Amino acid sequence: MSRENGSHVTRRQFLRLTAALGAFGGAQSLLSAYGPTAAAQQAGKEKLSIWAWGEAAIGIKDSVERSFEGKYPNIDLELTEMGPWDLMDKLYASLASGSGAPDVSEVVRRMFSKYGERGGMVDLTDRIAKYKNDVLPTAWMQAEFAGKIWGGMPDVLPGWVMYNREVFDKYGIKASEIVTWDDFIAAGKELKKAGISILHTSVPAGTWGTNHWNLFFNSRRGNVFTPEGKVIRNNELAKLMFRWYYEIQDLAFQTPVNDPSTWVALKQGRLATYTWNVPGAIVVKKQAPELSGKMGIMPWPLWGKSAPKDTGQWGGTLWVIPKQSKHQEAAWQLVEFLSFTVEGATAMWKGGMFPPAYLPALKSPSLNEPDPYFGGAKPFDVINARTIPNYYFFDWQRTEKIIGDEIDTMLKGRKAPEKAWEDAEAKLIADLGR
Amino acid sequence: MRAHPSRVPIYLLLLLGTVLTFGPFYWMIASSFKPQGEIFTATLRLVPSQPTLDHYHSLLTKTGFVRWLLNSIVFALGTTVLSLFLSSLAGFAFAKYEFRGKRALFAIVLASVSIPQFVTIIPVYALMVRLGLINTYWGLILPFSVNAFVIFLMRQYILGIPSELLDAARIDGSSEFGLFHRVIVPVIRPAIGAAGIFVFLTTWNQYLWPLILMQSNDMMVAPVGLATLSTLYVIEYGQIMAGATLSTLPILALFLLMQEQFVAGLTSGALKG
Amino acid sequence: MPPQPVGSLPVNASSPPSGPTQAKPLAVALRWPKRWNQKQCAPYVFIAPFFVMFVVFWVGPIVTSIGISLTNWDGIQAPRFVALANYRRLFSSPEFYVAVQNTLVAAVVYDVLMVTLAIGVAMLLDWRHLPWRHFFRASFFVPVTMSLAVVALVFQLIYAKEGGLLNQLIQTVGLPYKVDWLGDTRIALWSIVALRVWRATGYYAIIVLAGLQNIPKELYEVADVDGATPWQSFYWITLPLLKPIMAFVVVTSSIWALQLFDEPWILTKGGPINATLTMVIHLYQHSFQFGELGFGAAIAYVLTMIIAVFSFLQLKLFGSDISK
Repeated sequence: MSRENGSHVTRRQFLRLTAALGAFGGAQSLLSAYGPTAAAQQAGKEKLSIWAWGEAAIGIKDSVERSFEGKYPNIDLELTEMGPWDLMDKLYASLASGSGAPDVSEVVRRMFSKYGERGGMVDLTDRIAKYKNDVLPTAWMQAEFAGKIWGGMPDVLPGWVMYNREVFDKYGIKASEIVTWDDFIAAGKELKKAGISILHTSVPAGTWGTNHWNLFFNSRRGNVFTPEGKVIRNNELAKLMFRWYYEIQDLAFQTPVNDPSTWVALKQGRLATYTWNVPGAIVVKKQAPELSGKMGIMPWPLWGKSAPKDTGQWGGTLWVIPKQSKHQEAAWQLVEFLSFTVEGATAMWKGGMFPPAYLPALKSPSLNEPDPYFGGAKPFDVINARTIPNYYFFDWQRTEKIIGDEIDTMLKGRKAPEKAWEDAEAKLIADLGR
Repeated sequence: MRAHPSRVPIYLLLLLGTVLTFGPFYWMIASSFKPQGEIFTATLRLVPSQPTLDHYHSLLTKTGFVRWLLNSIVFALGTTVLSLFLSSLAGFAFAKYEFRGKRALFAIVLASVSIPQFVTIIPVYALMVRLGLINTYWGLILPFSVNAFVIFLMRQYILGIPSELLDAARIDGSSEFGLFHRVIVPVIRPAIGAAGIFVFLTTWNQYLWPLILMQSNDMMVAPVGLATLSTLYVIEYGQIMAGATLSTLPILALFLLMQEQFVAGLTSGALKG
Repeated sequence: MPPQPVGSLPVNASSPPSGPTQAKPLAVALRWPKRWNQKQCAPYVFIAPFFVMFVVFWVGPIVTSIGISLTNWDGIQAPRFVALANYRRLFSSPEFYVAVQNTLVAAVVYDVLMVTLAIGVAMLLDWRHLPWRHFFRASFFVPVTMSLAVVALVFQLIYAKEGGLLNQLIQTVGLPYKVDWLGDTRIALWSIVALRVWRATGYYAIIVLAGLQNIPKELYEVADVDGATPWQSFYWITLPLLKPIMAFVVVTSSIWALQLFDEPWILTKGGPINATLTMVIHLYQHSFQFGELGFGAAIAYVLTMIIAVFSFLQLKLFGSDISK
């Protein structure tokens, strides 16, 4: 075999290899081209990508897409749904890398300071300013950072109590007579004698537990941080609430986060209430459809017979527009639709039971429909019966881990509640430098 | 193999081992066919009472699973092909050539085997950002094609090829690259098979890197995608088990078909090490 | 020397290749007719593609990583040099020590358990009178076909406190306990170790099996004739001859074990109360969740040092030299 033939064949092999790699690369771009993106672009529409989770995603899929695309027919919404924590991580990664961010993203409002401090989002102060008087102050305040507004604040997620009417009736408990937490606890003790828990808590608590505890803490006008972001020292109320949370475990059904056992207990009547935030109702409805008509709702109990009519909050979203977005105008239209229109608020309420922070929607009689799941009770009546005290979230991702670990330590009986809070406080000061 | 031990305990051990090994595997498959309410019951239910295909249906239609599986395949295949090419070429050089710096270079390669990959995660992530490869297949394939272990395997295997074969080919007029592709490659096919399976399995397994490097839902690989189903507000266990089953069966089939090559390749690398 | 094709000689064809960093284009090398040149260049050309990637994706990042660990980079804003502040903070953080302890303890227990089981399974599979050998060998390998993340998800169903397979089995047997496999801080880590052992044993058993099959049967027959008991044969023949394989198994499985991330992340996110916090989880949390990439890089380095020391000690223990 001559050398020339040899190298000739080799060159051909080399070219074949290159061709194969090229085909591979082509296949890959084909794959990324196939999909709703390509379809939308072919249709000549502007494609808006939006990231959301859970109830918001349900709301968007069920009605926002239709309403919004009906109002703006040249825009096509592409929803990517993922768990809230994955979403937050990915959003952070995309802001850091300068690529891959969606046009609009849902952000867990209490985590917002992490992004606010670092930039990467479009400043919406001027555009949103005109809505200031139409939005609940609590929500408004949480979207502010360094004097600017970074996102649309569509909702507030207050705490309320969903109770099983049949169980209450069976044991002679009248929901209207549960006005204070002491009443609640008394009822809980009655139920406990029959082996029924009046509420449930997440154990192991972790970060989830912090937010559940926070519902109670917030409702009693507690705060971990000052408005400027410094940890409040010698927080007596926090110590008190740690102890309260510890003692209420006796009446609680303890179950891991999102564990199916919660639904089983609820359905079987071993768990009498779902004491949670309002959108929790969506999950209850989905997991326990057979309880429809048998559940009721009542407002958050008070901390004293003449205490302020407050409730706590858990959650709250912010719709932000990453600076990378190439469709900022359309993105703003979506944010505005979701946060500051009655239609948007209706869509989010119907889809995810997110109470609007937009006052015209919150006070709107048309939205205040009876809910058959709760025996015809009107959710907005219950929601409007309470206000939410201001709460200041800072470095919440780390804060909730620190507090959550201490809650777990306390619940496992390794520390006295007061000591657990003191340690949490010390660690917050040390780790966050606030 | 030694003084004859009694057979009964051995059979029992084998049985126990098989039950333990297959148990979780069976549980995964069974759960994927159980109706939602049966997956977590207080009493043991070994066989689904009313097997249902619901979870498979909702997995395939409501989640991005098909795309995720595709991504996993592209990632695994792409990495396997590229790393086999790079490593066999380099392994050939280390085995059959003498050149300046050979010892030092090989030592560096060897040392890198013990450096865990997560050390490089942050800078590679930043690099991918700068190269614009975040959320792309290449962004995932390129870092993983650098597999020192495979070079090691290849070198070991090629060392066993008699040099006379190469010299004969040279006399016949072959170029150096021709040596590689006409003499070496056919002979090391078993090593390529084994190393290929090894790389494929390793990349199929990846979780942390794809988690970080892939951002959008439709670029996730199967393990990452399935895990996101577990962090949603309402955990869809049935779907997760269906997805787990679907992403395991291809590998299982592959293994059963290529059992011999795989075992041979695995052990040859280890033995000569 | 055979006649060379006209006009195909590159200008610098006569100069010998200078150093390992000289990566000549492949096409040029292929067309080069002078064989002695080609033979000398070829190795560099062959290792070039790999080494380019190696430098870009391994060496470079490893060096950059050191740099990042000396800053307070958060991924979005410009980094600021803070020298050893990250390391100082690391060494005074109780969580760090928890992570190190969990990682090391889990790795050691996992190794001991897994290696023992792997040897046991290999010996079972090596048994001369074993029926359906291929079936059993395949069945022990089945766990390896499931990716780690998938295994974690399946074990979520097994370990669940209410309604998980294990607790269901316990109920069926009649015991009224409900073990909190993942929520009890005392056993959470062991549940995860068990998971890993389940998955890895088959893989390493097959490797050990190959080693066993390499031991000449005559040795055993001689020992038999001399009146040795099975245990004596095992101790004096099997173990020593398995040493090189065992070195490989132990070192590689430890390196892998010290990087424990997937399972505890999916199952418990490092909890409860950091009971399953491993170093890589610690790294991930700080880098990608809290946005402290500099701190994360410092963690990565310390873990690398730990792995290096661990591997070194293990190699010393086995007295074998892997780098030939």
